[in-house]
Amino acid sequence: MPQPLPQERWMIATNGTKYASDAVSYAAKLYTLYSNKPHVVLMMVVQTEQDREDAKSILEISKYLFEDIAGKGSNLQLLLEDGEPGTAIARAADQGNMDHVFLGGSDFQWDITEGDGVPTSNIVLDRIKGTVTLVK
Amino acid sequence: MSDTKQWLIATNGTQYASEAVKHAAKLYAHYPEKPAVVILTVIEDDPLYDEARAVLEMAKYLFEDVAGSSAHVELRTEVGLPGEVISDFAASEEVDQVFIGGADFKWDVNEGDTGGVSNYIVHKIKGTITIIK
Repeated sequence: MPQPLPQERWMIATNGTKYASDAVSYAAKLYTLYSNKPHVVLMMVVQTEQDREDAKSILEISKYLFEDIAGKGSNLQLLLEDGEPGTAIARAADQGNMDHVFLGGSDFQWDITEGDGVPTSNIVLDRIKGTVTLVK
Repeated sequence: MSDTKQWLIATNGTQYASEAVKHAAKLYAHYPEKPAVVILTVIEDDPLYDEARAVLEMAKYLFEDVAGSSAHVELRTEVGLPGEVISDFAASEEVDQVFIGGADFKWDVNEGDTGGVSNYIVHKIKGTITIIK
């Protein structure tokens, strides 16, 4: 029998897109492997006050998706943060002492100077120390 | 269970690459349906072949130490530019999960002569990529 996986703190950043949902799904499947269930924070970042209600809905749907795979009663917390997404995700991961961050990475760019905005997944990868899983 | 079936662990023997090997091995040990695992190292010149072989053997030892000695791991050495070779290998072998150390990740690839290997891989590969840094 392999040694039990250690209890970890995970954060899943979602924005409701396909790859973000794939990241939720991937994390939920991984969660089922752990006998010491990770503490999971499912988070979304809002940039304007109008986004807030939509963000709550997206978090609820993501929670449903996670629990549909990992089972109800999962050790899951929902978090809404304000600000620029990459910075907010990195800050929340740091403050929450996260061991593993999951996110959709479809916006990752080889050269961040090519476009107008800096991709969220680039910022997260740059700033987080630890384990990051990108689904893309 | 996770759907990924074909894993690639890219290593160059550094601390973060070894952390990636260990992370993958821990997950492997708990997967009921074991994925196929390739540990790959890339050399730029043939004279480094013996050194690459040693890096791979150490990585295999570490993987089996965590995942169990019954774990089946294929070892591969390829010659070329690491980012390109790893990305091309992942595409040709239909890899759906990549594990890499990302200590060389560069925020802005224009800052130096070349971009980081992990930056290149994350950009090129489609699928699930776990980066330890």
